[in-house]
Amino acid sequence: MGTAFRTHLALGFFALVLVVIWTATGLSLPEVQSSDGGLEESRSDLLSGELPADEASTLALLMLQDDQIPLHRRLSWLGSVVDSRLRDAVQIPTSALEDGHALLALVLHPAVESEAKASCPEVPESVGVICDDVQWSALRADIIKQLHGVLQKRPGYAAAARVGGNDLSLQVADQLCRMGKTGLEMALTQIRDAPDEMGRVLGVLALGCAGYRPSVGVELQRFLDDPGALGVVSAMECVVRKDCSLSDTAKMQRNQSATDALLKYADQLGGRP
Amino acid sequence: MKEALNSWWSVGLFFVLIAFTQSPVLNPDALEMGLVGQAQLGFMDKGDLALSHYPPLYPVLTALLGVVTGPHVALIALNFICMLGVVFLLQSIVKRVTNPPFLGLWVVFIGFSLAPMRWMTTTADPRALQLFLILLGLFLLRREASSREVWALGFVSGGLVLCRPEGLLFAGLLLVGSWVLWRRVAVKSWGAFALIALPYWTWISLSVGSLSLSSRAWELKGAPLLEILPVRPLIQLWGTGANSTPFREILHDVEVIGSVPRSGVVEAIGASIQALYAGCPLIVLVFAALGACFLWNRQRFLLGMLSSLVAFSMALYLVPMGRDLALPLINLLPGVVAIWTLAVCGALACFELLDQRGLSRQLTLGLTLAGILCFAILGLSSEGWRMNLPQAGDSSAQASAWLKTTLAEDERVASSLGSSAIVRRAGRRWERVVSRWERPVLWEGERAPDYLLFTSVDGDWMLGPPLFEPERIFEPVAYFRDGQGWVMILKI
Repeated sequence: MGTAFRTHLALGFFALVLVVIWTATGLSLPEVQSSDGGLEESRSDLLSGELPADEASTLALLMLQDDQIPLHRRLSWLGSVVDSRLRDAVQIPTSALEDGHALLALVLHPAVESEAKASCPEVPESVGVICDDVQWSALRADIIKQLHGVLQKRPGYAAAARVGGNDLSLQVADQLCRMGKTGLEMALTQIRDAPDEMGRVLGVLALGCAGYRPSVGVELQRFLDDPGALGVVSAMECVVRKDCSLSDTAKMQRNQSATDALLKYADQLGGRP
Repeated sequence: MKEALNSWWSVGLFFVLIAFTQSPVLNPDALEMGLVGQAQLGFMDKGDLALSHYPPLYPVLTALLGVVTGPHVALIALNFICMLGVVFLLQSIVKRVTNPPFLGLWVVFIGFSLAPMRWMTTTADPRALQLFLILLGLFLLRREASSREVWALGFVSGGLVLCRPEGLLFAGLLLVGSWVLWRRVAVKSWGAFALIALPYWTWISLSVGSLSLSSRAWELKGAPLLEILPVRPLIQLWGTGANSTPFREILHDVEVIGSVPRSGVVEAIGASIQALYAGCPLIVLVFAALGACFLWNRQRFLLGMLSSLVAFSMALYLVPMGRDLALPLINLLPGVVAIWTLAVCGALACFELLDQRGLSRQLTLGLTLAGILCFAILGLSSEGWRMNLPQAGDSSAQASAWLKTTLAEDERVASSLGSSAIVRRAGRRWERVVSRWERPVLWEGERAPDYLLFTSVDGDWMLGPPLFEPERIFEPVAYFRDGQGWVMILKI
């Protein structure tokens, strides 16, 4: 018994030593291979078309607003800069020559859309439909309708959402914050017409944009008295703006449910120096 | 001694298989636990960490091991050692039922074919310790146990409570098992359990100001918020609000728990079965079913404990906190270990049957080797879970190396919690990307970071206006890409 125990102990210790060596080796950092990790190389490969935008979509997204880059090159990345799940969620009826994903990206990035429209008819065939006002307006309306549909999609429970943007409907709501007037109109429509409370909440998030969108304090103030989630989220949006203040109703310390905790949180957030 | 060596060769084989096919991964949650452990032992200032929010066993053990090995190595090494212990104990438990010549091989290769088990072996996470304790408890549960083992079972059950927030669930299973087996003698186990659990419960209850049996009771109180907010900002409030604004304390103040949104029983069971089905190879599930039939004839008590283990894990799916879409099996791991055990029993039962039918020794040997080869191929060909962690690829190691060589020691890097391991591995100061409503905290004052880091797992949402004011200038300074994803670093 004693010998067996000592053998187990010795072998266990030996295993621990091996494991520690393996882990320490595996966690050691490699040599730095370049001063920017390959940023410039990826950029120039994107510009020359050697690197498909699908393989560096975020870099392409960052470069999309750079008007020093020729428009035709930026337009060629459009189909890749939209999240793949959003691409799957929005089905766009297009002809064989058109690129539905690129058209979706144009709706999501109004600045590039305006730039492309100004270049008509010198745009690639894949997005040529934007030069036809009637067709484009119908297609755009369809895309916007589908985006509203995505805003209704609820993700399942996902504790690991802390790692990032696993939440497609929220991602679209965030996107509305970057869409200027169109985004504002979509947010208001969402608040008005969404079939459920979470849909309206996303509308409020897209309306306030955590203080980013200017001059919507009055609209947000209107929802503060809502007894449900809309009121709570409006309060959260309100405390980070100068053009909005929490009403007495919202400040009430009801302390009866977990949802009221959010109000209390908003109150503390607003009161912080 | 020969007996001991006999049990260890399979552990060695499991080590070799994992060491040559996997690489270590730092899990951000575990890194936080590492800091908690150091704070608990007084190695560092606890700052704004609320120690009672974290079950203490894993943090303390890693902090102690870290004194010798360094903190990051300790986090993973403890996992690896625990999983080697799981292999050892699983083999010992099955050996009590049947002991054919290739038992060790079946244990190792069926375990290796299960992606969650490979993941758990090389990724820092307290769940490996939980699995080890559960298996240790099952090992101690035998009719002819000595008095020392009866006491030990109580301490192991107490350890489970100190290991994970849902520990009471599995500790309860072991204690009920002890009562079934030992009746009045089990009082010793219950007493030992109380010796550990009661002081712990008193501590967390005093910390939060109300009776609590779990360090994560506040999270359940906040669960109804899932009905109000989308998941991401809610999780940011949970995680970051706890530091910058006392969101957890606010939840503690809530007088009425309200309705924790619970799934329907049928829906929860369906979702957990689906997760198990998707996460375990079909052949393992088939063998597990055969193993259940085998144990029904041989060892009903063990069958009862293993099935309860699966059922108790599935019960976690009833509450929203138990579910995780990105890693659906993460809270079902005790169930996966039970399936692993059943599958080993099933495989052995098949060959016992073949043996009884008088199959030639060569044919039995050939079939055994073919079966084991099949599991080895399954293990080598499935990547599965590793894709879910941003720090699993080469690009993250390159990014860490870049941060270490390029940044001054006092420069700060902001990222999501999920990508924090890249910064911490580099030994640079990390700032959490706070909730959308706390932007000024991130961009102004003492905590303003110098860099922002995000990865393919984070997605593009961090580039959105809620985090970047229009006039704020940020410039990409490094970009790392590999087959698994990318890491981008922006100078703010």
